[in-house]
Amino acid sequence: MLELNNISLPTDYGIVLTRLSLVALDGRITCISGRAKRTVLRAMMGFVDVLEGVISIDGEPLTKKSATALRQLMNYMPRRLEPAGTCPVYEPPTADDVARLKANRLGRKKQIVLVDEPPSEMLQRLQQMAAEGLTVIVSTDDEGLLHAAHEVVRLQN
Amino acid sequence: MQNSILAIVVALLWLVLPLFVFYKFDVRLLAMTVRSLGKYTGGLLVLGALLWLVWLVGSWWLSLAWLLGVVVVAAFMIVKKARVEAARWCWPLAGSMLAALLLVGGTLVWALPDGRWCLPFMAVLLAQMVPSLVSGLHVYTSSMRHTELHREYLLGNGATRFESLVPSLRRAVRAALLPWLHRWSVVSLLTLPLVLSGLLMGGMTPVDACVLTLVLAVASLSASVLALSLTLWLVERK
Repeated sequence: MLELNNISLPTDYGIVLTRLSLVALDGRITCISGRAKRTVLRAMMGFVDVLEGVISIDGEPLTKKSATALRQLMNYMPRRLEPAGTCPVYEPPTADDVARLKANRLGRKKQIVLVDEPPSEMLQRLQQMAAEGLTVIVSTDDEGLLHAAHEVVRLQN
Repeated sequence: MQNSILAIVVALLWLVLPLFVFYKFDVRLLAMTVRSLGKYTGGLLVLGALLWLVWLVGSWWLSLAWLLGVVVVAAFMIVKKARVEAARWCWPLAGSMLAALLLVGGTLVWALPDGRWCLPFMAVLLAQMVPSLVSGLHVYTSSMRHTELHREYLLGNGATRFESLVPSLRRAVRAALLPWLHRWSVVSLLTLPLVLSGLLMGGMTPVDACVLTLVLAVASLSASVLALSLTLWLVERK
């Protein structure tokens, strides 16, 4: 279970997202839509400093110190991987690189899946993961995915 | 010394030829050549005087002070050439280079038959490390700039901070190694290594000169990799 309790976040658009609360439960798909959805997803991984409020995973608060350990419970699928600016040789990390991470070699079950703007064809896979009891959190504006989700959080500007 | 003066006279006579060509075809080139040669000679005279002083005094602390000064200057030069942030990189780089020189160079100098080789040996090591460190640091910082999303992807999948840096570290080490591979691949009779030529001119037998050149090449590679690894560790440790 991943919980956001009354959090405020700075966003890429120069605005501050305030008083956001949600509970993403095991075995359910939670969709986040709206302008700063990716920022919320990044905050759940500890990449964005929360101005106020608490993010917790199974009751354990997500802090700078605990973030590395808590991220070991997560699988993250970004929308796309691309270099910032022009890059002479582009070598994105592969699935093998991820599989070789120490956290993945331990064989520990990853309870939380974070997916950034998946294509609508991925719906079946997301439903399958939720059926396996995983906490599936998706950032999307795709109406098909939003319709199929168990919970939808719409961020307001 | 008599031979040296004769050599200087002969070299100056030969200098007349390019200066005459420049004078005939491009006077600006003539001025540039004279200015550059003057600067080069002045620099060599100052360097020679300092080296002579260190040589004459022959004490370990003066040699160490000399080494320290040269390392700091080299670190500033590398930071400038690699176009990385001086405040963040310069001192870790200087410290790492000094440590690598003292460790790798120190053990080899200890094994060398003549203690007077210490300074030139260290100087050659340092000079050989510079291009590797320039390209290693440049590639590392540019990789870090380009791959923020990659690091988030790895971190989001449970990577430790070190694991998320591995792709950029791998690129940096590869870039630092490439100048060596290139250098080693072009050795032939036509491109005799400068160090080997210097040793031969210094009166060493060809076999000894080849062995020492190889020792220097291996030591320089090890010192470069050690200095780069230490620098990246010092900058990125948190």
